[in-house]
Amino acid sequence: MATQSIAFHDRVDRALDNRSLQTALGRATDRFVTNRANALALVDDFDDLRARGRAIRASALAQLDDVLVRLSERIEARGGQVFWAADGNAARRYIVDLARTRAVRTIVKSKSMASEEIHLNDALEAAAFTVVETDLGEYIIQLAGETPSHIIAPCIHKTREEISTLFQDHLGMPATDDIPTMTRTARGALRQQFLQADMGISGVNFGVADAGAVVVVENEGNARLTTTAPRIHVAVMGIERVCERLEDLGVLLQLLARSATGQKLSVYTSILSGPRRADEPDGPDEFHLILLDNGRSQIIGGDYAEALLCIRCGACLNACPVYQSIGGHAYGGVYSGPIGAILTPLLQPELRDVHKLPQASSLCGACQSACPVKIAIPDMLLRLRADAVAAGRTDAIERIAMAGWSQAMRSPTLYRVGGKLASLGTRLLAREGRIGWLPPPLDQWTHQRDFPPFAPRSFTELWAERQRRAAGDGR
Amino acid sequence: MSDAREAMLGRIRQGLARNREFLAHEALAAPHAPPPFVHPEHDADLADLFATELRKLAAHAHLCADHDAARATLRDILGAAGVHLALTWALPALAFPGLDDDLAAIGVERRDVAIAPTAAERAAELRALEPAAACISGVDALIAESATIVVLGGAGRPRLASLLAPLYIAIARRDQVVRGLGQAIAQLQQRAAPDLFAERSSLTFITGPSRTADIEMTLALGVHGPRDVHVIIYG
Amino acid sequence: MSTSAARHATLFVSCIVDQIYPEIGLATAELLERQGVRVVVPDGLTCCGQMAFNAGFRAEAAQVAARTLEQLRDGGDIIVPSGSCGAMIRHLYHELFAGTPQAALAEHVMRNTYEVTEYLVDVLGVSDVGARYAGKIAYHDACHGLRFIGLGRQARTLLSHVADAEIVPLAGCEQCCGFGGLFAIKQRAISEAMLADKLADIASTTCDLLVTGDASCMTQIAGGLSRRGSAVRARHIVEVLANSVDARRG
Repeated sequence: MATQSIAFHDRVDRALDNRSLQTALGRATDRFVTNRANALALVDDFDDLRARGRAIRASALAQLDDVLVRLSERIEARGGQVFWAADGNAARRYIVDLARTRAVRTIVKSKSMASEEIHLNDALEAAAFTVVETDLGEYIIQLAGETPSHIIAPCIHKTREEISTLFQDHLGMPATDDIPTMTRTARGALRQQFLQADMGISGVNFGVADAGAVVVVENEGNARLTTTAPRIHVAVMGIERVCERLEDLGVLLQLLARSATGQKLSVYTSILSGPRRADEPDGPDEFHLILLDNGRSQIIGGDYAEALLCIRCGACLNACPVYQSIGGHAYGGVYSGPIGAILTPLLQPELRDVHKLPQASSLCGACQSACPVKIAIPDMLLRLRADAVAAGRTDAIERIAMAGWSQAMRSPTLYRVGGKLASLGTRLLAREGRIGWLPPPLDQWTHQRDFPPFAPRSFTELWAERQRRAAGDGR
Repeated sequence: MSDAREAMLGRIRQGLARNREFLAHEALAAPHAPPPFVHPEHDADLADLFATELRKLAAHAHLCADHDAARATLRDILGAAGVHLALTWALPALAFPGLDDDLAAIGVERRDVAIAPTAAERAAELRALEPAAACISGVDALIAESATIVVLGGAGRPRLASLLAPLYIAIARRDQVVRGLGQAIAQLQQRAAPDLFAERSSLTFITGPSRTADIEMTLALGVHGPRDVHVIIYG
Repeated sequence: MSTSAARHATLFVSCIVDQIYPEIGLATAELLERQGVRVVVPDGLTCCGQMAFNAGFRAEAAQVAARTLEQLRDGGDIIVPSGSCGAMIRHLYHELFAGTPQAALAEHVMRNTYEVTEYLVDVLGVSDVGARYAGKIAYHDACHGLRFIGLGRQARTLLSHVADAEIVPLAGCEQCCGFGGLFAIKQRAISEAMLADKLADIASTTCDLLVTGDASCMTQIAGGLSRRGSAVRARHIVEVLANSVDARRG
């Protein structure tokens, strides 16, 4: 959580200065982008699938009240319990109380962004429960005392050497940087936790209203063990992560796997509907679904409702040139990358510098092109920037500059005079047709880039002259 | 608790009063029905297509002419892996005659799963199952274009029998293979109408061996679930 | 050519071209005239308002854009030598003017606005403009044109007909150069890192000319190339198409 306390620019600088992070980010995002492209190329009509996915998600959100009622009633009818959590505090309290009443000692967790968002582990550990993250990447992050930096690959910022050291220190692994050996070591350690855990906490990829089920998607098998071995399963779901019917998964799962990792389907998709039935040989005896609001019901009525369509695939992170350069931690919140620059200011408004996140985009649009449900991320970033201006969260110098700019662009005289001054000034600064230094704040440009001098005569002037000449020629 | 529920639903309805029109409009912009399959259709036999796709995932497909050949294949796989203990679906659920005799013949102990509800018994039972080197299940469908094994939970169908051991063998009949996920879901719902989950708590799709690329994006198999996946298709 | 003989079009060169790169405006006019299009430039056109809009200053952007709308009201076909300004008008004016008295006018102007390569290829049906360049060209897809207007194919069609030129592939040609308007200043370090990736991709080609469709991206890339002493030059596509690359200063 150290990332939250320092300013956004410092986090960015730190990320850009970190050589091994830069290498890892480049390798990981390249791989994700290539795998995704290869998987999409095989599909008959991926854009049609995207359109269907967007419609399915929008439909569920349009009737979210009804969909949640249907989902919760069906889960309760199957013997599951549903807790409506207004915020992180309510969710944490419910889960801590549950663990206490059920005399839980060890809790295994599979990856859940929602539980990261509400800092669930901190609350459980403060209540003296042993909490073990079981996704390999999350486990590594937990051993290191860090936070995830990517939705799909939480520890892409760590090298194998760093991970080897962690495993040697915490698990007594002999020195090696062999990845299969490290993986086996983690498997062995985590297997013991699964066998003795009393409670498993998972996230939810989709809640399926009419089936009364939650869907958990993964590749490792840790989520299957988390939701099968312990006697209590707690699923934490943001209220927007729903669809109406089981057949919707025929679209959503295809979009999710291909967009996230380029797989045709993820290795394991568990569709879970309440506790085990009386004659089922295994599975949890208790099933609890936490419906987490935590700001989402505000978002659905605002200008950013579309962000709730997100299926958390991470494709926009991998496609984003800014994310590729700075990685997830620089964003400071649980959700990083382009979608994080929208969700974090909305879901974690208390974080430092959070209004600056929408500035961390060149608005290139690669995120929207990659999004499996076609979320208009750049348009929303622009709206968030406008909100920040409207709320007065801008530098005075920027406000003055913009007011001046607007005046100049509306007045032909001011525009012409301003252009002349700029032309004069920049040509004075230019050497051999280029400018190597501009005064602050424009020195930010010339730090690593030259700038061209303004033209001696503008296009407007040259065009007027051309027209006069043409008229003179009698054309 | 119902207060929290009503308050949340109230906030959602308030929000939707403003944006329901936009969302409903987006909801109508495209059909919702899943395509039966998503890759271009071609002539390959579906079982062959399944086998080809499964091998791409570093798993093993065995296409057997008949039940006897499938039995022989199963014995070979277990024998080659030196398995002594296997946990399986209950025999009636598996519906694969001869399994018990075959396992006994090659010295494999077969174990049913029956997890008791109390904490202590649960942990003890899990510990007893954990040493199993193999798990064996039937399937409810195979999806050819993604090489996906579909298994429903229910009586005699433990989830752990496709999960706990490093070696997993799924036994399927040729007529259980469908082309795509859309088809598979439609078929399951039809078969178990009106409520797929009336008598079971889980439906699981398994696509290849357990895998992770969390360390330096390097693929490693068998991180939590089975590393070696075999699918025997017969008939 | 005879089919387009009766056409006239309004040229909106953008503020950056007007003040810094007038030759791009002149080249655009020449290109259109050679296709028999009569070019009109309304007096006092300045800016589409994008810089302020992107920075979140919507009131300021709307003031400027409203004036621009008025000037383009009777413009017929409106041609911009910029996918970015084109995207501002075609994609973002909708939101900027939603619910205002100018909404209908904005829709009208949006429908009539074309980026220059799009106009040449898709509207006029031209693929060979008779250009010549003896050298190797790499093409960078400027983001806004690529993703919000669907450009790229048109420029490649036109470049493929430039005599004596070899078009060399550019890895990551659809990856942002890091310009992003005020982003280049406010997020300097990130912008520089993105530019460094772009320059590395350019350096890995054999090109001597980097061509793109937006003067803003061109400024970013050219600024990086010249700071690093690269022999590769960056130019706007209309300069190549109008045969004005080697006639230009610098």
